[in-house]
Amino acid sequence: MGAPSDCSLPACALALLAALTVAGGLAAAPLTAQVLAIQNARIYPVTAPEIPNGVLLVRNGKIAAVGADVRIPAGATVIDAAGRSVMPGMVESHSHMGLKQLWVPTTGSNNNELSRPINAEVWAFDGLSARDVAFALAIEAGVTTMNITTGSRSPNSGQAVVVKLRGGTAQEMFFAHGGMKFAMRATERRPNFPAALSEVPELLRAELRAAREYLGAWRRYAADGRRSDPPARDLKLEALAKLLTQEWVVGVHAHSEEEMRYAMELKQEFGLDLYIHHANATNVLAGELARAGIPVSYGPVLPFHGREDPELEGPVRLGRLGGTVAFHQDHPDGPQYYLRHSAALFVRKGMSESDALRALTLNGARLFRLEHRIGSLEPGKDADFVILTGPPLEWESLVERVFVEGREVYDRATGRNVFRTGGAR
Amino acid sequence: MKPPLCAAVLVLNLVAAGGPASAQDRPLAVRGGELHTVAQGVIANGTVVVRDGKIAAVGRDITVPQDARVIDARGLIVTPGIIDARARFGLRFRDAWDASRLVAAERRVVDRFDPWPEPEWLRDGVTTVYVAPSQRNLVGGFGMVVKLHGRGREAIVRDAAALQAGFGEAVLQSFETRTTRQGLLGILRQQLIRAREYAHRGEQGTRPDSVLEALAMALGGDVRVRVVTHTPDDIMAIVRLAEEFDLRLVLDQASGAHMVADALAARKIPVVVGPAMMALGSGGPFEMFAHTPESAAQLHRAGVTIALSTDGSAGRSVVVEGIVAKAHGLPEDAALRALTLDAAEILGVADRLGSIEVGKDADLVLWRGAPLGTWGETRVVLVDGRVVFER
Repeated sequence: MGAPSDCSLPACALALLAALTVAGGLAAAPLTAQVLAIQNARIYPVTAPEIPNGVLLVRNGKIAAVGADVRIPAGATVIDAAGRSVMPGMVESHSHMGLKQLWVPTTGSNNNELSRPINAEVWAFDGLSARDVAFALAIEAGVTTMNITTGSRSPNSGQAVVVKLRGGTAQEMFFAHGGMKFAMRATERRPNFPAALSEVPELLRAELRAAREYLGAWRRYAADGRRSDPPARDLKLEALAKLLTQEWVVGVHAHSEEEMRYAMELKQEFGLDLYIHHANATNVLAGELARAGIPVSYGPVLPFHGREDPELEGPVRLGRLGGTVAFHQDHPDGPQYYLRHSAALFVRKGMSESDALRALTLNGARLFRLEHRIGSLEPGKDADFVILTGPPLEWESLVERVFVEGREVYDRATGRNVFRTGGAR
Repeated sequence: MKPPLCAAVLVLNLVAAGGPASAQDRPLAVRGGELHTVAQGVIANGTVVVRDGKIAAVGRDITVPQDARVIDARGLIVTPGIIDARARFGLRFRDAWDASRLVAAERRVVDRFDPWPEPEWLRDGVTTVYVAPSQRNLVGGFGMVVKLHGRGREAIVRDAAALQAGFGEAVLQSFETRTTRQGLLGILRQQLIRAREYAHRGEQGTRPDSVLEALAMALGGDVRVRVVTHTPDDIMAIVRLAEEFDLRLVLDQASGAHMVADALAARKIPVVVGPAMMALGSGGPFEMFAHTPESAAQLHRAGVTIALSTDGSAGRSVVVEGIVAKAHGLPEDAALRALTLDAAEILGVADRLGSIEVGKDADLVLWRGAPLGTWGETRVVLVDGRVVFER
């Protein structure tokens, strides 16, 4: 989706260092070294047609092989999944889990920074709590990766974080940076906040222009051989500059056609790698979204999909036009358990089954440029998968077992759930 | 139903229509379907004859009247109209509760009902819903049972179907009184005693009191009392109160009911199971800690009569709740029963709705595929013998 990062920024190096530190911490924890084989399963690889009776082979937390004729090595742990379906772990593309904590009073909420309208330098990861009991419910839904964002009460509520549901602390759950969050409906009666909807994109535009100047100053400094005094560092502008260089994606909270158009204009003017979440006017804008290559994270549709598009025509059309649709339940607005059920609802409304499966998995991964790691069952990808009692897009099917990086995190039969039973590893 | 429909229009319609408009309709026959009558099992290749909006005959070897309009139901499943035992519909938020007092027993949903915008549920086979006043009042007044099709009075099946109450966080957080659960029950107990005295005194020498009159309707079980409450302890506190005053209790939402299922079954207390698909919120009521999609199945297994509900105003219909309950262990026939006859019984409208039986309203749904399956699809929906949706 995006261009590689522009590393003339000192912040870029810092972020890289930070990412390495976090990743290093994770690498230190042992992944299951064993070889695991799921056999006799109906496998939905997502990127390939379903395999009626196949084997999924996992080695060191990665997928080693998928197919009908995979030889299972001696010594492998074998799970017989006869009559069962296997799909990739689902991707929740927009959630507030761990920020707004289930059954914790609002004083425990780290979801909205309301002291100012632009919060580009703050990162949801820093306020994330893995103790939110909702994570336990998410894993039981077969969700293995989640994009956690702040907002949407300020025009720019900060940076998002992508986590894997491995259990443990937020630190252990870290997977990737989630890009930036903008919100078009962020009007508040507070000092410096936009009072009218039209002022929101104006404010964001002004900030992005400032970031462009900031970026220019650092580039001139670099081009000049770093002989002059460096420009003063500004964390906020540094963060926004990463949108201009497409180092980060930006997710824009927009509901109406007007709000969605504001988002599309921002992409046009600043060359942002941008997707829209909620996107309730997708039925009106499907053609333009497909042409502009703007992905949509649609939802939540269960339990209460709105009156804007009761037939859910928008995402169905966008999928047909070759656009990218992912789904979200926007916890706590929608119950996480029903992410998969909402995909089935779209199929009832006319979405193809393969589009719906993609929307639950690979398309969510694509929003955050993680499609090389997750979202489908292919050799080399992370062994994040779900065993279900039946086809994934049937409401009657239940999630039985969930694996993240080859390690079982949930088993319906025993009730074992890494988020209920404590430590991840 | 076209907006706006207010009480005045209801009355006008009643006068103008001069009774059910279907009186002059031709008879209608739904022929050759697999009839899931709910009350009398499944009839393969059965026929339903409808006359004047009512079911006139049901069975395998039924003679179809000469002048009847025939709907071919071969290859389709026919069920009674689906009932959502608690929906939010036709009430604006500010009308749904009385913020000025805890006990607002005399209020009636029917007086504030404005059925717009109309939900999409009819095309999912949902023909009847229970509309409750808010659970934010300790006693919020009378809820009603209404069909999703029909004009004015005709649509209303029962206008004081239940006296609606709430017990728990929603009530405690809605008032500045800073009272407690025991405080709420103290208030309710005192009011019920006054209502009993009021009823005993009769008309003479008593100033009319609409609140006490409404509460008196619930004493002795004339009108069902539906209480939205969640934790097992709150549920049993309400059960004790109901036994003390001989109330005909129906538990509403009751996310912890499955934890006291045996106690409820022994007392024959039915439960309108709260939606499995419910946003639990953040910092929201911890009292919903026991919420699970398995609740309906566990209650059924213990022998509790259940209905299902969305508690919603848009989006997925109660049919989806049935499918989710089925997926989590509720047998298919029990799920269909919960969506039809058991719901009708809990709502006090089983004399008219809930099964395919002679004499009942001809609210029928023709399905392609299993009604409680992901790919089940309605083909024809009838309300009072009239086709109101056809795919």
